[in-house]
Amino acid sequence: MADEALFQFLHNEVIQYVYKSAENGEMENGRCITRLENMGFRVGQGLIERFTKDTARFKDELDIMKFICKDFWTSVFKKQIDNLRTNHQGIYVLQDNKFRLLNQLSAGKQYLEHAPKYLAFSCGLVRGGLSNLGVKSIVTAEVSVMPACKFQVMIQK
Amino acid sequence: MSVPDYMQCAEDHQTVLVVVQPVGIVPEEQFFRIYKRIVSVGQVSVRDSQRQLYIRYRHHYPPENNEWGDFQTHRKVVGLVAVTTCATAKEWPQTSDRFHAMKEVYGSTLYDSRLLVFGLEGEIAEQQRTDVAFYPSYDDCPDVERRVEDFVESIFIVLESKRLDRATDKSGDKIPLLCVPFEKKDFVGLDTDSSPVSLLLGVKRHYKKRCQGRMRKHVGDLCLQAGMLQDALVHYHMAVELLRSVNDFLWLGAALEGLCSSSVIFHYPGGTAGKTGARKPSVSQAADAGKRHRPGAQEVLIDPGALTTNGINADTSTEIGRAKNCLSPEDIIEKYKEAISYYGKYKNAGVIELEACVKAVRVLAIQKRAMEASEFLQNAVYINLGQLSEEEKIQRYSVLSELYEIIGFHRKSAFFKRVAAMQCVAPTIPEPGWRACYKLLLETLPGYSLSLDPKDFSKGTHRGWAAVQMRLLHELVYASRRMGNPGLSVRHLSFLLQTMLDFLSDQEKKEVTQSLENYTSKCPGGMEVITLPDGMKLPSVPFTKLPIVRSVKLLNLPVSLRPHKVKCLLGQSLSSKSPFIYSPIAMHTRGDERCKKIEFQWVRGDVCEVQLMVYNPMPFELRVENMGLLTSGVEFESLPAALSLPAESGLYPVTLVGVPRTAGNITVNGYHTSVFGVSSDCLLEGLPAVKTSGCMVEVVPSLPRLQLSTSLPRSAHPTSEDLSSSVSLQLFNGESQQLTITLENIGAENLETLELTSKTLSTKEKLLGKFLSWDLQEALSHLPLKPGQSLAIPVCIQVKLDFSGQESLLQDLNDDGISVTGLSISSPLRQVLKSRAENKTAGTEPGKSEYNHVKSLDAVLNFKYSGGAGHVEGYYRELCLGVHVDVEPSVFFTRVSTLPATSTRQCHLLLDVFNSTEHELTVSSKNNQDLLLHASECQRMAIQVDKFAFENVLVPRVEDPSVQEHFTSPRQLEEQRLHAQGRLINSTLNIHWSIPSLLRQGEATVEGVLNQLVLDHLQLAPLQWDVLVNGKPCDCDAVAEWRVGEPVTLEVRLTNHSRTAVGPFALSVVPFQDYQNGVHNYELSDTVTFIGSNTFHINTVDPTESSVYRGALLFLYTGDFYLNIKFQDDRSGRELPAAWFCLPSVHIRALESPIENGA
Amino acid sequence: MTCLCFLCVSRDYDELSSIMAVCIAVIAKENYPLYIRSVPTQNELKFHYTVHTSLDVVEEKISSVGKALADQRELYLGLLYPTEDYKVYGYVTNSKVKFVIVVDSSNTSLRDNEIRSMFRKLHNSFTDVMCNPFYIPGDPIQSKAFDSMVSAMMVQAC
Repeated sequence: MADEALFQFLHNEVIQYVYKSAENGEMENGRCITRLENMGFRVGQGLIERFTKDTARFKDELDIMKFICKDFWTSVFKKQIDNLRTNHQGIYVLQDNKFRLLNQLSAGKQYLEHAPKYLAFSCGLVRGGLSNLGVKSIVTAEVSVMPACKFQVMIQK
Repeated sequence: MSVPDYMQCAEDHQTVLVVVQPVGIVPEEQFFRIYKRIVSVGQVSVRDSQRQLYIRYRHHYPPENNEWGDFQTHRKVVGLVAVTTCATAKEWPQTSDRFHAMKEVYGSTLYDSRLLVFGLEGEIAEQQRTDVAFYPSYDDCPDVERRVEDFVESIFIVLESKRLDRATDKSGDKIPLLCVPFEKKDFVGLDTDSSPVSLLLGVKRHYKKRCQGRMRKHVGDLCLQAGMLQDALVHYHMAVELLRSVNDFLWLGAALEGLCSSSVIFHYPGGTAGKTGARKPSVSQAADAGKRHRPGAQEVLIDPGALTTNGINADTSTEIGRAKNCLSPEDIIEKYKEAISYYGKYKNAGVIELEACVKAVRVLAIQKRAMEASEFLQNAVYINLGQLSEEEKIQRYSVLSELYEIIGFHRKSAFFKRVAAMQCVAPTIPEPGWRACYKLLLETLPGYSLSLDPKDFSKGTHRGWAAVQMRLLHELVYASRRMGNPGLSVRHLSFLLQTMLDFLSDQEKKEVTQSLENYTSKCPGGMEVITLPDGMKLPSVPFTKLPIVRSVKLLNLPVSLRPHKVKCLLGQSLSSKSPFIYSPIAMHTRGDERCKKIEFQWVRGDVCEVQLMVYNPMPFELRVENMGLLTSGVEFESLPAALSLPAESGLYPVTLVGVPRTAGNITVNGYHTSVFGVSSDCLLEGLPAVKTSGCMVEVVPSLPRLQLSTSLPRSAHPTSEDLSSSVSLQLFNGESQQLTITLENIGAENLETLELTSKTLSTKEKLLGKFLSWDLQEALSHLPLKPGQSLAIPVCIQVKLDFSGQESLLQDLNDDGISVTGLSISSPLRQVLKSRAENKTAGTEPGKSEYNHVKSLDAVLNFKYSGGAGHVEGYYRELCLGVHVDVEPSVFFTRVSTLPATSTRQCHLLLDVFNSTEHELTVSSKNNQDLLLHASECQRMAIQVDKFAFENVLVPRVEDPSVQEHFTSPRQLEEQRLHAQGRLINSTLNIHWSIPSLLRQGEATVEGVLNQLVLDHLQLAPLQWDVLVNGKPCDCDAVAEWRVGEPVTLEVRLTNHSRTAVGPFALSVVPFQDYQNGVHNYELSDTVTFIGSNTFHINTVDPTESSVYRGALLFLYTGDFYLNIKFQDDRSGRELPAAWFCLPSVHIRALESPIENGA
Repeated sequence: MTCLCFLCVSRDYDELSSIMAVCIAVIAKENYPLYIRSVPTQNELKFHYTVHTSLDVVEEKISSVGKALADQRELYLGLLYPTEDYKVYGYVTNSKVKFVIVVDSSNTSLRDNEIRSMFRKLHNSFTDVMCNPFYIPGDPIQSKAFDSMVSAMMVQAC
C-alpha cells in the first residue's frame, strides 16, 4: 500500500530529525519525546475535527473511546484496535497487536529501547483527538513484544 | 387590574390575603416593626381540626386587584389589620372613624378586621373589644402575634362558613354567575332571558352550566384556602369538565390553574418560590403525601355520573376515596400551558396570564426543565400589559432576570438585568436612579463572565465576550459617574484599560486614557479595595501593562563602591551571620529563580539601582510619574523617577534607584507607578512573564565612601572598568615624580582603616628599583577621618628601566674587547655601524626611533578602606587608581669598563653615556664634574670609586613586589646577588642627569649594566694588600722618594678580610722602568738590587689576620722605578679570583743623594 | 494516513442558498467567540448580545440532564429561540464548537434544509481551518477562505 509507506517514511524521518537537532544542542535531550508528542497532539486535534464532522454526537466517554478504537484507528492506521479494556473509572487500555508504525522494526527485543520514540507521535495523536472532544487525558504507551503495543489512556477530571 | 404581582407562586392560591396598613400617621420604623411581627404569623393550625391556614400579608394592595377576588379567591382581601398611634383619648374617635373608613375600602370582601392602637392608655384602653387592641407603646406589646392568630381563626370561621355555604348550595338554577371585572357588562340579562330562541339554542342550559362551573371552581378555591386539598382537587376537576363543555375559556383557564396550584402544593411542599419564601411543609401533609401520592398517576376519577344538575353531593368523601386527583408533574405544565393559552385570548387578562406564566416557570425551574421554562418566559416577555409605569417596567425586567437565573440561563438573566438597569435611567424618568442602575449592572457581571478581579484575566485566553464586556464596563463607568462617585469610575475605567487593552483600537485607547485622566483629576486612583455599600468589594487594579515590564535586573554597585569581605581565617568569623543563605521557601513554583539570592551586595546608605526593561504598548507617548520600587525586608527609601516613553517603543531601559536605610536582606517585590493619575503597585509574583535573575540582595552595613583626586591630571587614556580613575604621565628613564593622592570622605561614615598596595602590571621590562613608593604613616595619623575631611598621601613614582638593549645599534667608542652585552667585538652578531659623524649628517636616522622608543609601565594603586558598621562586620571597599607611565629613555650606558686606578683600593669606572633624548643633558656624579651631552651624543665618563666590599652585601629578602618568583636555584641566587651588588654600586656612584631646558632630572642607574667582570673589578678584594715603602704607604700616585744607595724598606702586609684562610703565597718583586712609550724595561738587574731575596713567601693567613713581609731593596741609580709585585704560580692554584691579587703599584723615585763634601 | 500528509480540502458545492444570515458566529468550547461577523448596522453590539444569550439555550440543549437519547445525536440543534426580529439557530460539533446563525424573522421562505446546509458549509470550512497547521486552536479565526465562505452566506449590505 503505497500511501501507508509514505507516512511511515515521513514519521521515521521526523523522529530522526528531532533527535539530531537535539544532539546539535538545540534542545535538551529529554525533550525530544515531548516534541514528538506535541506534534501528534496538534495533528490529532485537526484529524478529529475532520473525522467527526459527519458522525452523530457522542453519548459518553465510552462512546468516544470506541470511536477512537474503531473509526479513528481505521482511518489513520487502516486497522482497528484489537482490544479495549477499561476499569470504568477513567482508565482505558487500547491494545494493538500489530502496530503499523512499529511494523518495520524487527520483532523481538533488539530495538526495544527505541520503541518509545516511535510511539510518541501516536500518543500525542490520541491525546489531541480526545482533547478536542473535550476529554483531558494523559496517554502513554508501552511495548513488551514488538510489534504489539498498548496505549494507556488516563482521563483527567 | 393593573399591577402584576411577580412574586406570586402557585402555593399562594391556598393563602388568605390580609392587608396591614397604618391609620393616620405612624412612624415608618415602628410600623414595619409591628408588620414584621404580624407577618411572622404565616401559618396557623386551626383549633379542633387538622387543617392549616396560610396567610399572605400585604401592606399595600391596590383596590382594583380586589375586584378579581371572585375569579381567584386568594386575590381578595379578607382581613384587615390597621395599626395606629393614638396618644390621647381625644384622638380616639377620629382614629376610630378612620378605621371604619378603611374598612369600607375593602368592605365587599372583608371577612374581619382588627385595629391595633398604640400609645393610648386610660379608660378607653381598658375596654375589652375584640376588634380593637390597645397597647401602651410599640415596645410593650407582647401578644400581638397571639391576637393575630385569633384574628386568623376568626377569619377561618367565616371562610369555612362561606365554603360550606357555597358547596352545598342547592339553589339549583339560582346559582349566581361569578364574573371578572371586564365581563360584567357582557352578562347582564342573560339569566332572565327566556325567549324561545335562546331556549332552543340551549342558551339557558348553557348559562346554567356556566354558572355551575364557575361556582364549582370558586368552591375549589375556597377549599384550597381552607386547607382541604383533596376536596379542592375534586372541585377543580368537576369545574374543568363543566366549563370545558361550555367553552368558558377564561374560567376554564382559572380552573385549570387551580388544579395546577393544588398539584404543585401537593408535589412540592417546599414551595416554588425559590430561596425566598420557602415554606415549611406541614407535617401532616407530608404524611398524607406518602399515602396518597402515586408517581405518574394522573387519573381523573370523577365519575361523570356524579354530576347532576342538582349540584354535587356535598359529601365528597366517597369521591375522595376513589380519587387520586393530583396531576402528575408533567401534567401540571401541560395544564398551565393550556390555561395560559386560554388567558391569552383575553387582552384584559394580561396580568393573570403573566402571573400564570411566572408560576409555571417557577414550577419548571424546580423540575429542571429549563428549555420549556425559557419558552414560557419568552412568552411572558411579550404579554402586553398596556401602559406600565417605569417602576413597573424595572420590576418586570428584574423579575424576568431572576426567573432566568433560577432556570440557569445566566446570560439571559444578565441580559434582562441589564435591560432593567437601563430602564432605571430611561430618559422619561424624571429622577433617574443611577444608584440602582449601577447596582443592577454590577449584578449582571457574572452572567457575562466578567469578574472585577484583574488576577482572573492575567493568565490564559480571554474568557467571555470582549466586545460585550467592554460595553458593560463603559456603562459601569458612566453609571458610577452619574451616581456621583468618581472613585468608582476611575476604578472601572482602570479595569477596562488593564484587562481589555488588547481589544481596544488605537482610537479607543486614546479616548479611554483621556477620560481616565479626566476622572483622576477629580479623584486619583489608588490601590485600596473599594467596598460598596452592599458589601461587594472591588479589588485593586494595578496597571501591569502600562508599561509592560519585561525584565528586572538588580545592578551591582559601581566598582569603587562594592563591599568586599575580609577572608576570615579558620572559621573565626567576624560577623555572626553567614554571608549566603539560600532561602528554602520557594514563593511559588516559578519562584526559584526569584528567590535566588544575588551574589553581589548592596551597602546601606548608598544609592542602589535596579534596571527594568519596559515596553510601551500604547500608540502615543506614555508619561509615567512616580515610578519606584516596592521592597521588603529592609527599610528602603525609594527615589521615584518620572519618565516619558515614546509610542510603541522597543525595549526601553529604566533605572530605578533607592537607598537602603537599614542592613539586612532586601527583596525587590515589585514596583509602583503612577500613570494617568492612577497609582498602581505591581508585584513581580503576579507577573509571570517577567524575567529576573534574582530579587534578593544582602545589604551590608554602611561603609565610608572616599573620593580620590590626584595632583596630576586625570588621564584620557582608556581605563579598564575596574579602575576608578587613572593618571598617566610621561617620565624620562630615571626620573621620579611625586603624586599626591587626596582622599576625601564623601560618605557619612568615618573612615577607620586604610591600606595601600600597589601592583605593577606584568611587563617584559626589567624594572629596577621601586616603581611606586609611599609613606602612609602621616595619612594614617588622620584616622578616623570624619565625613567631609580629607587626607593626602604622597606617592613617589620612579622609573628605572633598562634601555641598554639598544646598545647594539650604537658605535663603539673604544675598543677594549668588552662590551656590556657580553659580545666580543669580533662577534658577527654585532653590527658595525658607520661612525657617529656620518650618522649625524644623515637626514633621517633610521635607528633613532628604535632606540628612542617609549616604553610604558602600568601599575594599579589599590586602596582598601573601611569604617563604620561595615568595618565591624568585616567589609571593606577598594579604590583603584591606575598609573600609567610612558617612559622615554634618557641616558643609558652603552659600555662599562674599568681602569685600574693608581690605588688598589680604587678603580676608575669608565661609562660610555649616551643621551637618547633630544635635549641637551648634563650628567653628573657625586664627586665628578658634569658631563654635557648633546642630543644623541655619546661620551665617556670616568669615575673614580673606592672598591666595594661586596661580602658585606646581604642578599635582600624578596620584598620587592615586582619580583614574584621564589628564588630557589643557585643561579637565581647568584643573580640576586649581582643585583644587590649593583644597587650598592649605584647608590655609591649616584649618577644623575638633568635636562636644563626642561628642568627635569633623574637618576642614571648603572644597575643593569654591570656585569660580572666589571663587578669583579670593582670589588674590593678581601685580601687587603698594603705596601709600605719606608714605612709610608704606597698607593695611587704616591711617589716614594728615596735616595740612591740607601736601602729602601719594603713592607708588604696582607690582611685577610675574606672568610677563608688564604695562602700560602709566593710573591716576587720585579722592578721595572716605564719609558712612557709603552715599553717597560725589566732589565734592571744592575740597577736595583734586593737585599735579600726578591721572592718572599707568605704563609697561610687566617681570616681577619694579617701577615707581613719585610724586605728591602737598594737603588743604585737614580730614576723612576716601578715595582711590580706579582705572584708566582704555586700549588694552590688559581682558585681565588685574580682581582684579589691586585697590589698597589709602587713608584719609587730614586734620587740623587746629595753630593757629600769630600766625594 | 493520507490525511496526515495532505490536507484534504473538501467543499460542498451546494446550490446557492437563498437564505441570508444577518449574523454568523463561531464559538469555542470555552464559550468565547472565535469568529463573529454581522451585517454592518448601527448597533452591531446587539448581535453580540443575541448570540451571547443564545448560548444559554445551546448549553441547555446539549446538557445531558433528563434528555431522551435521540435528542442528542444530531449536531444540528435547530431553532434556539425566536426574538421579535430575528430567529436564532444553533449547531454544535463533536468538538463542542458552536455555530450560531441569526436570520431575519421576516425571511419567510425558511426551510430547515437550507439552514442545515449553511451549517454544514460552516462545519466544513471550520474543519479546514482546524487542519491548517498554522492555526493554533483557540485563536480567533482569521482565514480568508473562511471569511469568503461566510460572506457568501450573509446579507449583502447596501
